[in-house]
Amino acid sequence: MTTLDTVPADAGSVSPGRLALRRFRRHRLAVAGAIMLVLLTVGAIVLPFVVGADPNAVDPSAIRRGPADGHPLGTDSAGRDVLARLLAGGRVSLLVGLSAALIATSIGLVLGAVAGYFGRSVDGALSRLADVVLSFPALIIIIVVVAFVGPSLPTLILSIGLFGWPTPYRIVRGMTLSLREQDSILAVGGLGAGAVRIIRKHVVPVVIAPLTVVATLGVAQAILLEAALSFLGLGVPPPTASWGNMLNEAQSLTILESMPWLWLPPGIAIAVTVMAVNFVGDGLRDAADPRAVR
Amino acid sequence: MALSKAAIAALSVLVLATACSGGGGTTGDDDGGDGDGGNSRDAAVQLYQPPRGFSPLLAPIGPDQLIAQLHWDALVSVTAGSEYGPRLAESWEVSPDGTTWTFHLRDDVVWSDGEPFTADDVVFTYNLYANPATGSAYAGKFATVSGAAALADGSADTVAGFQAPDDTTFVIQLDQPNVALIDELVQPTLAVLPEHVVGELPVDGLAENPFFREPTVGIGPYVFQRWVTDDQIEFHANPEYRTELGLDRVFAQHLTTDAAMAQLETGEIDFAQVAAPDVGRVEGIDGVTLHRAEGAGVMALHTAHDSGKLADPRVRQAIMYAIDREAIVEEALAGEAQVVDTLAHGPDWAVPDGLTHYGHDPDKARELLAEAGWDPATEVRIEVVPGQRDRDTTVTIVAAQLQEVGINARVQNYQAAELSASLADRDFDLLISSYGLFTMDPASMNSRLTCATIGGPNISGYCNEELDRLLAEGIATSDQAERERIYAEAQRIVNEQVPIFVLYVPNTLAATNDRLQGFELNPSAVDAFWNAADWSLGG
Repeated sequence: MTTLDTVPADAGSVSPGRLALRRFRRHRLAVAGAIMLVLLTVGAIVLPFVVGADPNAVDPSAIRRGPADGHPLGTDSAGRDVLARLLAGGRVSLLVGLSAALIATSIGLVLGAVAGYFGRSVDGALSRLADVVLSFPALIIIIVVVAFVGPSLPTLILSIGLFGWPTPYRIVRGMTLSLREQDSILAVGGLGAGAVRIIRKHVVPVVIAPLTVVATLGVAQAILLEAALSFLGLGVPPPTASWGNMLNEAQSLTILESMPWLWLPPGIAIAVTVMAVNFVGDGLRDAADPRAVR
Repeated sequence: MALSKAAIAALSVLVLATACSGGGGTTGDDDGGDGDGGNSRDAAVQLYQPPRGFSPLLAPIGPDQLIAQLHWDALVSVTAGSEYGPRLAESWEVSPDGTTWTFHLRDDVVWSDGEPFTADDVVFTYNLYANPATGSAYAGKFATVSGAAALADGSADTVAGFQAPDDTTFVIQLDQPNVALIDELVQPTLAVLPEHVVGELPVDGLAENPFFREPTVGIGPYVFQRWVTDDQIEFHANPEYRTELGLDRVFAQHLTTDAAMAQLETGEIDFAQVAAPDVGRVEGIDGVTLHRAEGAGVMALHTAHDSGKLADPRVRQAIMYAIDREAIVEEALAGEAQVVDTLAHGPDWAVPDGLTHYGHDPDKARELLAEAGWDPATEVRIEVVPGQRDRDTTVTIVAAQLQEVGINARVQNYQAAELSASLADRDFDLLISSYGLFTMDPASMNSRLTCATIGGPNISGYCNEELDRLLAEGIATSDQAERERIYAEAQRIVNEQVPIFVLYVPNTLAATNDRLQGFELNPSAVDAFWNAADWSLGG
């Protein structure tokens, strides 16, 4: 991806941040993804007020009706408006995705910096712990946790977050390990700065860029996990709408074959969102690549 | 324990889900696919919830009742024509005063280990049913048998009223007349146990004895062989069965509605219950026959009356008015059900005119709630074991419609194991359950509504002295006109007090693969395997 163009004359006057933004903007798919995400977020927050339908209001006299006036995307098995649920479900999916990724990244950042900075037995212990978490398929573990604690939104966010930290952890740990050996950091240490200060002032700012990339991809993963769990009936408890919950209905072959309006919209929504997030992550990675010139 | 069970359930759901999404690539599945070997004489049947085991003494749950029909047998049971039909008892009669019931047993029956079956086994088993010390859920059912009280208070070891004058005669002697006693014996179908085996086990807490998880001796056509998984059981043909059997092995497995429909289509299972919304689809599958019978049981919500949460009858009426039962039946159940306003909705003579019809009337519901001083903040849980789509949908709609009139209703999903615990503790607000056979005699409501059966089939713990008196009178009277009058009065009380929220009477729907011959649909959904001895494979 690195461009081989010659360095423009004014390169020295452009801040690294601007350079990164410029590189990001050149990544067309990333820009499209970002626009899509903004639209989705705005849609999930604002559109419910525009549409006005209550996502949990049932209408037993109009069950499983196809798209028609009043219900642009039809109604589900309890006579609830699919469009209203799609939008409400978007809120839940984005909320789960963002919060879980935030939790995972924060844990990964703190543990990674600690492990990388202190090394030795601390590093050994934390890295083995990360290996243990990584060696289990997250979905299976989360299913067990949810089955034990009982499904709820906080449980879901916490468990997805708690099982997502090894990836950011590894990135941060690796970078901290190499940073620690740099003369500048050794000098700061020699001048009397404590571990907390060094991590906060000299490690975190450096790792934040690659960490953003990992966090973004984490969002996509969390959204997918939420959908998978809700599809299995172990995610967001009904009647709260989530895209996975809506897909749950497609477990019935009758619905799968003859009522596409019940599962196509949430299916497309998940696919589009996850793709958009991944494109943005791709773009961010390129933009944050320090070897890239522009 | 709770963890592993729930997790296993969840994981199996996962496996099923991937199997389903895999489309056609599921033929190599060695988990549930044992039934589809081309020339083997095996059949696979669906259980709509996970089975607990073979203890007939525990409060009945549907899947246990189903597998009991394969492994055990009973004196009598309901027939496909909604009549009391012979099983181990060939015939029976009641004395004119209604206090002596005599059952004439078959003389050609032996247990699967070769021991002969005699009236002593029946006396032994009925003593267990009547003995609260065993943990029996039916002690209340037999409280009026002569000597039952003496057994309960410890002054006697056995119930004097259960007698076996000879090897093929079983007599029940009652203190108070009961002309409808037989109705008590068919719902649920009361299995008979082998005295020579079960008699060796400790009587105290027998209902929970591990023997019933893996019983070694049976008497039904297909006897327990092993648990294949936590929710799949293998049965082998009983070598001692009294008629020739058409199958070698039967596999019974818990499958959710959706998974069952998929497996029915691929031919992996031979019998499945059908959810109303899938009727059209099932009718269109080649090689699968849809069976439909007008239902005899109810789908109903139950509240634990002793919790006092819904103590005011006006609140209970409001709940009935808040729910649009007609629309649920018409739309969510594709018309495969009827709306009724009282528990015992048949036979015709037992349902008086002029019962209040609880149509959909949210305003009236709000009015009643206001009169009763209902606090909108009170949380009302609607408890459900998820997995049956029409039930799940009904619960969703009910919750939303209760919220509409100002009841803070919330759906609470349960695992089947948790359900038994909350039933035992009577810790539920609106528990949805379907059961019963309410079309043959109005006395069918007794076990659900009388004070004596609290802790047994009266899961809501409802107790109303006036109703108790009428119901007692109803079974003590053999004069038809007099019975009609008594039940009219009883029905009005039930209709007005709403001890149980009857939502609808679902049609009994099942589908069988055309390989499976001889299947006859019983109107009682939990008696679906009642004629398993007649099953064979053809086609």
